[in-house]
Amino acid sequence: MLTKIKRENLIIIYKLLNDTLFIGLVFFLLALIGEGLLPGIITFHIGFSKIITVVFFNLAAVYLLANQLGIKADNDQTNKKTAYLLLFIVLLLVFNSLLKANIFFSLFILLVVVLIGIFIYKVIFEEN
Amino acid sequence: MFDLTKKIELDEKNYKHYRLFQTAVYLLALFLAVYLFIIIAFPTQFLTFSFLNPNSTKNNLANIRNSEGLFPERGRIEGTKPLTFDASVIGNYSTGRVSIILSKKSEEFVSASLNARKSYQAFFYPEGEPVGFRDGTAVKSEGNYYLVSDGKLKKFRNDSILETLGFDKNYFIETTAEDLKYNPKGEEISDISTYPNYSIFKIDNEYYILKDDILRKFVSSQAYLSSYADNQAIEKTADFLKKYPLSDDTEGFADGSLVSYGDSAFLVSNGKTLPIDSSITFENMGYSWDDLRKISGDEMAMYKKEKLFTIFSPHPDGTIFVTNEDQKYYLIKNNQKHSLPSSSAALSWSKNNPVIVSEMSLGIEGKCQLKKNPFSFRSYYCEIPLEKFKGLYGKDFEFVLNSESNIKIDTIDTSFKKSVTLENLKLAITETFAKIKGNYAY
Repeated sequence: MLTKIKRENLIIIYKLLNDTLFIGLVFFLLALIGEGLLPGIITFHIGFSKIITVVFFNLAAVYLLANQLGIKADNDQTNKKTAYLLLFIVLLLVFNSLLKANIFFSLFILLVVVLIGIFIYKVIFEEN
Repeated sequence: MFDLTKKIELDEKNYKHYRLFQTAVYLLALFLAVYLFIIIAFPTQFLTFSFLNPNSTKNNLANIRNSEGLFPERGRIEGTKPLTFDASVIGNYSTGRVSIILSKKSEEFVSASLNARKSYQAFFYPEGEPVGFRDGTAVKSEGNYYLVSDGKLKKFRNDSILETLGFDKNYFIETTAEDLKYNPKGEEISDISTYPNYSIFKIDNEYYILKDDILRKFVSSQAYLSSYADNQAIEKTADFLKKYPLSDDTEGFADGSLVSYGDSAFLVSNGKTLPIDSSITFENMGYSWDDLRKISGDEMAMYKKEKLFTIFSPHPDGTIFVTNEDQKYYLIKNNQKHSLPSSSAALSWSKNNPVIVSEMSLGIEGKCQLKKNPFSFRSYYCEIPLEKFKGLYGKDFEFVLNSESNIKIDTIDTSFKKSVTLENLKLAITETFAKIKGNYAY
């Protein structure tokens, strides 16, 4: 079906899907922060599963269109500043979820999460 | 506007198209964000009850009853007889909408109206006979000394009998003759060889109560203190235990007591504990955290655990209400509210802070006429503005449906809405910050 649509139009759709993916991820991140601060404030009205499903289908559509258009992801383009910011937010959310526990236990869990994260990153992305 | 995919280029015409669509997408996202903000800041609370599936866990309208106080089987209501139901909501809402969906076999409404009041479910209970002091309470009035025993006011014949039995005059609660009239008069206490029922003793730092000539031990000091004052118990030595048989059953906390075990809070009522489902329920029921007593495993073990106490549950037996207008006390017992003569009588039933209610709230009513829903065949609805209920104590709305037809209801749906106003927005923000603060408080 995609072959019947003009390449220019497909590129427009691809670019727009990137925008909607960005919007979806911003919504998801804000929902996570809101839910971390006050459990139930978001999920009482809209479940995370719905947001995740929308983002997942958006991502799948971006992937399919990129294949169709022959667009390859540029690995060198990784925005380190954004990655570090997201990592910081993730760590804050993990720490926040453990706030009722003993502070040293929370810090220990946080350290374990960081170490596991580093090792997973190394296994997946580092060559050899 | 930024372009997330700069490297993927388009000719000028198509790029303009893209920019146009991109603006539309971001505008849509903005509208969606505003819409989400509105439904979060101005939430609508939905409550429902289905007579087609009365045992469904989705049913959250409470205490549905006909004029006889019974649950109307299959939603059948005879003409001219009212149907009453309660809706529990947290927070202040602007309007309440009630929809009644009739069964296919039902008569249509000819004329029907709906009345609403706001308070606590248990405070809507019919008023029973006034009650006086609790069994075991020692009171004095106009120079006479009494013990409330078997529900009756038993007067000590003279000071000598009182002192011989070991009662200390100083620990009798001073009260008026007017307050004592709610306990029927019993025979005088004149025998120094036996103690009247509900005499209380302290033996080796443990408390006992005499019931039907059998001594019952309190499970703990704090269980005893939830009902009686420390200094009221007559000090005895261990030899005294030979005088009366000792029951295997232990005495627990006073009905309506709030206890905590582990991380959970419970209500004690009729020999059972009701686990309170959340701090939101605890606070919205009007309870005070100061009344929560930490209990041990032994104390907890004497109770059978009942089903969860939620925001939809009525206050259990043993609850004391006090009106904010004239400090009138009520005791909840067997689905009735019984007025109590004074604060000291209330204190004899429960040492907890009473739950504050508004006497006035029983007289403030909202009313609306049911209209046929033009978009639904058998559905009728009406809306009641809730502004007049603002500031009243309680979280429950009692709705009374008056109709002149013999009806059969399938479903009752209620929705409580908040108007989108600056005042409500300020309130929502204040409440959210308070909740966040509460969430992080230790």
